[in-house]
Amino acid sequence: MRKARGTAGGDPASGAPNGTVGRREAAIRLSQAALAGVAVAGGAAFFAGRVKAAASAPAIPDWRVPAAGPAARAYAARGDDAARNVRRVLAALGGMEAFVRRGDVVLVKPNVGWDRLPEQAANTDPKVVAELVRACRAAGAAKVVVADLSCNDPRRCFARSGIRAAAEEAGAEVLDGSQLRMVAAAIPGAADGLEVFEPLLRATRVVNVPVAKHHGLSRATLGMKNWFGVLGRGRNRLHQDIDRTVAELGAVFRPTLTVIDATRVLLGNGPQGGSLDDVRAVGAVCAGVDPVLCDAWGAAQLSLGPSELGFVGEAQRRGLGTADLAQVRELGRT
Amino acid sequence: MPRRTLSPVHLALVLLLAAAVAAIVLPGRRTREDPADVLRALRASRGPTLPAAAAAGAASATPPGRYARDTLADVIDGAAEAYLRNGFVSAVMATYALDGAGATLEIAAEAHRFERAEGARTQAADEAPPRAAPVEGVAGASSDGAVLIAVAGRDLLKLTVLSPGEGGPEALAAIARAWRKEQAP
Repeated sequence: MRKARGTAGGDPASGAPNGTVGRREAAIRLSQAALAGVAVAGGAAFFAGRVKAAASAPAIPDWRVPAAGPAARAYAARGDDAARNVRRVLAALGGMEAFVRRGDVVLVKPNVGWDRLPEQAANTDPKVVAELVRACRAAGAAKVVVADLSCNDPRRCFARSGIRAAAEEAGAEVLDGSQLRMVAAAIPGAADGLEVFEPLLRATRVVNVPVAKHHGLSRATLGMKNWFGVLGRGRNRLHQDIDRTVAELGAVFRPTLTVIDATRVLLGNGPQGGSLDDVRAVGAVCAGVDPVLCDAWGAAQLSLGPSELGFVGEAQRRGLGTADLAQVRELGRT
Repeated sequence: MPRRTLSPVHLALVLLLAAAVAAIVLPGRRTREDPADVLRALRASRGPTLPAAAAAGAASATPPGRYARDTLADVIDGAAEAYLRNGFVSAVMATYALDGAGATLEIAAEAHRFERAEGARTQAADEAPPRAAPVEGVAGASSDGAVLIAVAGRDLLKLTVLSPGEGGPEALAAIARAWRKEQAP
């Protein structure tokens, strides 16, 4: 005798007898399995796409020149003439020709963060930038690009800082934030996922030329911190753990040369500054192939020891350079 | 039917009502009497403004970009924090082009509104060039010839000469005068 559906001994919900699966239950289970399969396949495709995109993002090149062979890893020159200071440190390093070959595309990366005048010392001195451009051109560079992503209106920053006029006059192509195309790049660490401006990736040589100045969070902003200026939207999140992040950027971005501008030094209320009372005319420039050493020298112009800057210590621990100031050769004052 | 006399309480209520009506109607009438006041009030209610190119003595101006608290960082990334601390509400920005001697003079213009006048004044003090001097004929404005800062109530105007050339100071003053004219008294 056939048992009626739903009778005792069966599953009242499915209407199936014990140990069997009814059509309704089977349909539900099949639907669930299908949904799970679609979800898994979709998720796999999504993450595979992301991994592929991350893998396809270009790596940041290493712009260092192997075995350039300067006697010291950094030189510093002092005097009232900023351009002359640049020429002296470059000459001591073996000339720009030791770093820039004929046909190179050189990116000069100043700090043009703020809508400030040169005398307010919130940006790299335009004379320092212009002299570096001239040196690169004289060494045979096919093209010299001066670029930065400002914190304030980029056109205003490049106009007020005097950098656009000075660098263009020296023969550079000057690109402010409104003219820069942002592209993905493979940046490990806290800056993962942030974009960089395209001319950076196209450059065959990079000269990092920050101004030495006070910074409210990191105490000082120098060479390694200056890499914030190549990063696109979202970079503010890097201020969360600034010492570690700055050292990470120092490990990612390996410039051909670091040139610290201490023509005028902003001693307080940085990074934006504003008051001339916070500015001291130091009249010095340091250039070298060791970014950590250059930052240590820059810190000294702010009366800070290398051990007082967390990112300098962190960078040294990572083997990015030395903070031993005895290795900076002072060329004296002219 | 007995005739009722007006009691002092009724009289007081009637007078109170009349005073309330007068308080509402009279200022409204005054505002409506002057179309310029109406225009200024309307402009003030819709946010900071920049004068039209013709009014500012410019040949042209770019379409204005408008920014609020959550979009200010789109245009001034790191500097936005200081504005927000000072009570930034909204901004409008444009670039004026003026025909100068042999070259076009470009001037970046931005008008920012703050929650309070104090915020505008604080931001103005922070932005003012080191050697700024008062601008003749424009109340609350100072300039060093390349940058002009002006404050009117809760609004801050900042003008910057972008391209080197002659006529910068005069152009800044002309735009600032046109802006000041449009602000609520």
